[in-house]
Amino acid sequence: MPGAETPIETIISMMVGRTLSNDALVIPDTASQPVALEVRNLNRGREIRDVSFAVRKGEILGFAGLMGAGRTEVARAIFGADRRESGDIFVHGQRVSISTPKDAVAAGIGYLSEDRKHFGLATGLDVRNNVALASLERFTSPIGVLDEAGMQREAVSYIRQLAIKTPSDTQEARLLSGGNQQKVVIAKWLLRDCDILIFDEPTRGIDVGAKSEIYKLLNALAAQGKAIIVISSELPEVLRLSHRIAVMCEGRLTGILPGGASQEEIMGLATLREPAMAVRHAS
Amino acid sequence: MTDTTAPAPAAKTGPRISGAFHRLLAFSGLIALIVAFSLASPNFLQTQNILAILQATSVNGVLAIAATLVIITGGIDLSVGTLMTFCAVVAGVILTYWGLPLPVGILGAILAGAASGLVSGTIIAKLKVPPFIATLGMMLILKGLSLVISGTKPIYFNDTPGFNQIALGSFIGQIFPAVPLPNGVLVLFAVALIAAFVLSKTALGRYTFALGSNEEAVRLSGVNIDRWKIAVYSVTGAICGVAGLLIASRLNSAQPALGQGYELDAIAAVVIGGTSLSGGRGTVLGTLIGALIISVLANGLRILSVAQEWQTVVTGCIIILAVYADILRRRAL
Repeated sequence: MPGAETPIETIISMMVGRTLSNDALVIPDTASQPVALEVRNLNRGREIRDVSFAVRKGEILGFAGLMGAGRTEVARAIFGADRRESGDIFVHGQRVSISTPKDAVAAGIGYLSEDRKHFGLATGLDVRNNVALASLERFTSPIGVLDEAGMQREAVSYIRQLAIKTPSDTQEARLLSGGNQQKVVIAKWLLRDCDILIFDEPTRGIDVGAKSEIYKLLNALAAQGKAIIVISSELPEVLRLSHRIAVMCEGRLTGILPGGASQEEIMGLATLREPAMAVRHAS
Repeated sequence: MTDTTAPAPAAKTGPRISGAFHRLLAFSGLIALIVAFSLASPNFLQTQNILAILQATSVNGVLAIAATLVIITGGIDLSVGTLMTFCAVVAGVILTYWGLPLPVGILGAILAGAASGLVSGTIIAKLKVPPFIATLGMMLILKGLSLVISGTKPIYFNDTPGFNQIALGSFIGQIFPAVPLPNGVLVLFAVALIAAFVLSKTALGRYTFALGSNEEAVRLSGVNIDRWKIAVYSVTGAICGVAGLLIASRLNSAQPALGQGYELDAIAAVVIGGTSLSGGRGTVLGTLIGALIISVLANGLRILSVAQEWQTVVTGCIIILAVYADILRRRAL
């Protein structure tokens, strides 16, 4: 048996039965690409305080921070899942009015929740219907009848493209593994033609093999020109994926670092508390 | 897009099989009851008695189908019974008080049902009042309104000759005199076919199941869930309008004091038929079987001269057994 000094890669390859490519981070030059999503002065109580940032086409913007730093709150506020007090959202340079998820989806934003079972999948429905869930209107005839064949065609096509492991597109979504459930949710947003994707803890509860697959998928989506936001509490994950890293602390965006920043830099910003608050805390 | 693939977990199978299993269970229960009653009494399997059972099922069957739709969304509608009465009274007002033609009365009753469902749905979706409370309130409101509109007196349809033919006439009997199947039963089958089609083939049906499976996930998919929820309650209301026409036609009158208690029989039929009260699962066929089980029991026990008090005791036991069977099935998954 290998000892305590066994490298993590060896343990992973022993777990999944093969070596995983631990791709080095390649940061594409997206500076010339247009801004896909811009958020200005987003506010809500103490949870979100004056958050502004932009993501370009083809870029993966990571969101790092401690638990409760307000990253999920920012994502949900952008997506219209929770209300916001103030703040403007621009998609492809146009100011959009988002007050419900329906508005966000119409603007081309897709949100993959950290809690798939509660917020991502209709677990009682099959894979086909979950993939089509955000696009049912497209498959509905004027009198309301569904084009089941069209839905099946798209679902099967995404099952193949994303290598979703399922016996068929009529398998109930709750019977899939975590990684494959996550891919079903990704397929849902791809079918909806979203060009801005917000991934909240995309690999939570997913085995290491599937994790690496999700990473490749995110990179491929960025390469296709999607603007991607990845919220993750795992620093190695943020570092491996992000072209730039936004760091939050106590509801504020404390800084945006270039990709490949050190863990120390991120932790510095993640614990950069507001002086006034720090003083109050100390007293 | 990817070449390294995670080892897939062994695919579990079975939900479909066991979903069919519950319906099979309800169906075999129905068959068992029929066999038992036929052995116990030679009068049970007479054509006349079978037609009576079907006729007795028509009103509760239609109401149960109405309730099935909202129950699949994970909601409940306690107002189906008094809404049925309200729609009957509306038909009475239109036909007897105003003297308008029959089709106007039919349309009016169905529209009144849809409008009431629209109100229930709006209270639930927009004001976020839990369905149990919202429809409990509607149940009382409609009960009161029926009494107010009718002046607390029954409205008779003696001046509208064709009206009692809606439930009691026999369109089929005119063509095949050997099978005088009452029109009320045809209406039940028609409602069942349409509801089954809506549930399985239309966007409304798909959202009905999706809402019951995971409402928040549907909302976060960018779906206007309020709109679809209100639509489902409206369709349920419209079907209650059909039930109102059936019962008024059978009694040749709108009885404003009737109605309360019917919602419990309807929900019992839905549950016995294997529709989950927690939403996301259910079939019209199952509900139809559930409604038949209730009327076969009532009819059979009456033929065996069992006191009516005991019939309700038995129905209660069957509801508990049906839900327990469902729990066993889910535990087995």
